[in-house]
Amino acid sequence: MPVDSRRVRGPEDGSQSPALYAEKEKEGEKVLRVGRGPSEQRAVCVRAGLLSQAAGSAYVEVAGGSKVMCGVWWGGGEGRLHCDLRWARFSSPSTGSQRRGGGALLLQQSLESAVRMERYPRAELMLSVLVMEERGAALPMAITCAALALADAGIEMYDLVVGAAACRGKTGEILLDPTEEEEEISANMYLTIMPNLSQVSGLLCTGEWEGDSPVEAMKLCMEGCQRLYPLLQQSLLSSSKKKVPPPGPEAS
Amino acid sequence: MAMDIRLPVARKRLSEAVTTENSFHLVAPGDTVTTDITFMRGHGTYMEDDKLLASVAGVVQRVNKLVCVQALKTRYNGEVGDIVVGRITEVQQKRWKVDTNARLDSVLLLSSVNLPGGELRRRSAEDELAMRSYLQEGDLISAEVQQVFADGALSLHTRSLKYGKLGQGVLVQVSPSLIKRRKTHFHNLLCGASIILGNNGFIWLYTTPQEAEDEAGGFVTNLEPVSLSDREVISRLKNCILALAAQKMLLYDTSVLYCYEASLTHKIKDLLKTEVIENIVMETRQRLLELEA
Amino acid sequence: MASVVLSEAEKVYILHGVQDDLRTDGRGCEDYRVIEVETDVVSNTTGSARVKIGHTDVLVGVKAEMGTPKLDRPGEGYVEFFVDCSANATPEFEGRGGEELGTEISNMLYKIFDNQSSVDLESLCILPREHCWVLYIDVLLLECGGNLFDTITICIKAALFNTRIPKVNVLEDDEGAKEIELSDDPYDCMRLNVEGVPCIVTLNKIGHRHVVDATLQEEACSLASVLVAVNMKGTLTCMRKMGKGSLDPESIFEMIGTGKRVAKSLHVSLQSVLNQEESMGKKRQKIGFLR
Repeated sequence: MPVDSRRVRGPEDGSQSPALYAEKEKEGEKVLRVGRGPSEQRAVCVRAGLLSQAAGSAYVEVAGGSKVMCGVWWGGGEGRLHCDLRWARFSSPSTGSQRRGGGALLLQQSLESAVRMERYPRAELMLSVLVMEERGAALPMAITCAALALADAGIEMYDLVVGAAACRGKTGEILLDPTEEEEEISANMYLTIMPNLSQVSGLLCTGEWEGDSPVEAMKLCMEGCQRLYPLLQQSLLSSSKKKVPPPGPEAS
Repeated sequence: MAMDIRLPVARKRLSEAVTTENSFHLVAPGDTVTTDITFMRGHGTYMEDDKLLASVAGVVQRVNKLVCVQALKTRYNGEVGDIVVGRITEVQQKRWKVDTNARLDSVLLLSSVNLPGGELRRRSAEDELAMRSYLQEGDLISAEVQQVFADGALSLHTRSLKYGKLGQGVLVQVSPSLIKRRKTHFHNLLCGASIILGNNGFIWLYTTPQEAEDEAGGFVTNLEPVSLSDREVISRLKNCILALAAQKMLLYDTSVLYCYEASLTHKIKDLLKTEVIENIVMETRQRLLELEA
Repeated sequence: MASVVLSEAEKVYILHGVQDDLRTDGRGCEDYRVIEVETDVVSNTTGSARVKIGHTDVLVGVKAEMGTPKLDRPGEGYVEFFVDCSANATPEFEGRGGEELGTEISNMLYKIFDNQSSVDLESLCILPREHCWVLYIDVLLLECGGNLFDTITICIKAALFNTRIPKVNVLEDDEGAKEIELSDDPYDCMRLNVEGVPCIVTLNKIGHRHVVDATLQEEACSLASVLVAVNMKGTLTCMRKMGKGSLDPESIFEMIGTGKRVAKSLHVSLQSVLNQEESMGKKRQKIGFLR
């Protein structure tokens, strides 16, 4: 049966979300954040090895935030890493497609620095990431998820790639791990690093950043990544434990 | 930190009164070269209705009874005995494919290179496997044209100690028609650098080696940093060569040297500006005319 | 992107040169090649410009057309980019080859201009929710000689400076129906304020140092680069890391600093040349494509 790989866009005219016509609330002077401080991230739940058919897979869920899923397969072609990043149509109420351009490129570049592709000269890796729910900072989470899936598939890497996002409101306050509303009204930065090696593997920054704010935001993101790193290592180890066969009767 | 933003300026035409040579016979495709049928037909011409017509746009060259038309901006057409500088594009079974700015990639056979240590023996299967350790994709070599195949592809050889893999230096690419044919194309310039003027338009600039290279000849590349003064000389030479090429001057050791001397009054990075280029080339041309007179 | 293959020895030579602050053409690490700017080269557009840096040649045309404002921004006009990598630039761009690069560049351009300060979008609005000016910016890559992004943004700034949008009047007749009237005088135009338009500075990491305005050979030696888009006031509007290699955070901080410094000088020089060109008026000899 032929597979339709084109995305169905929906009817050309007449179908517009009522949200577009709703009166937007006046942008407040300060970005009010409830429940957590400016440099606190939301809690994250990570699982590796979910898909039985894929060579490797991972799922990342942020408490009250985005949900991302990734799968890795071996293709039939030549030595290359193919990355595919998609947002599900139901992932968020507005399309926000303008903001998402360049996400797949950031994903590719972040992973290329970490994966030892020279060890697989004649193999093709297909990586597919699906953002099921977008509640702010889904892109760095997607990159983290992809790195986990690659590690779960047993692919040689220099280090895990961990991502974090920060935003800067009009007042100049820098917030780590922004929600969707915070992302919309401020300047955004997505940073991915290899924590053990302390190397930046991907960086994308949009909006207005004055003075030394980009440097501050980068430092904040790096701290956030370092805090997330042990959690990722734990999840990999626990999924590896499940794969290890029980000791046989002859082991003494 | 230098920033030079400017409005474009129309290029000045070379003043035609400066040249003392006879005016060239320029033809376009379809122009009659000669109606005398006793001439032998060379490249760039064809016969029709007892007339010899040009098939390319270029200059007519007559050598005794041979007439040919040489196009001014073409790919390199190799002749036996030419020195070329080329870049390896592929490593195949018993040969390397070399890019020499010609219509087809040139060929360097395994039997046409010197073995390490200068041994003379038949190439074995181990030599075939070790090919990549000697010359890889991207490496630069200097070689001589051994023969020209029927399809126009060139067969190169590096069977002399002066040819072989090239080490640290800078490659400059110009049109092949600007390289003057001379007795030798390897020069150790007085300004402190060495130059290889490949007939194919690839010019290689490098530091003059201190001691004579050993018999192994070019197998081990010297990757030590080049001193700053040598680097300055090479950068200056590069800009001078590009300046001469931009003004369509013939390139040979004397013209390059005169241009270098004329450029000493300017900073190296200023040699990229159009007015400075015009000045130094004008000066070079004057000196060359005085030399001829 | 167009690339050249270099031998190991050549790469080592370039690397050591950069460390000594002397590149193969004699420039320092923060020097640009000679930049030639000319505006008003294409007569059929609202504004156009051509910029040549070394062997890189870019042509930008701006066309202003009337359209409807976007639903979520009813009081503003908008800007659309299209980048065309011509097959003339390099044989790699033939057919679909140039599409990937073109999409990458236009995504980058959207990101740079996606903020309040770059282009005054409110001035492009004619009638909220109904009519606005849409600026279609078309970038054409004529020749590729390294450092594409910088050349493209300088060219866009020059083209926007050259853009003359006709002034319109909104007439309301008795029934309340609105009509748009273009003024008769062809010289009665609105100019855009280009002070906020950012320019990209590409910094390529070669060895332990970084260079500005890399040639194709230098780009082949660098594993990673950082693009910073800075406007005249020194505000960073976009930053992106490109390339397969990873970077030390300290070097990124240094590159940001260099990028801001270089961009400031770039904006000042560019503005003075554009003002100079305009002051020459009719006396200026148009060079265009015939040199």
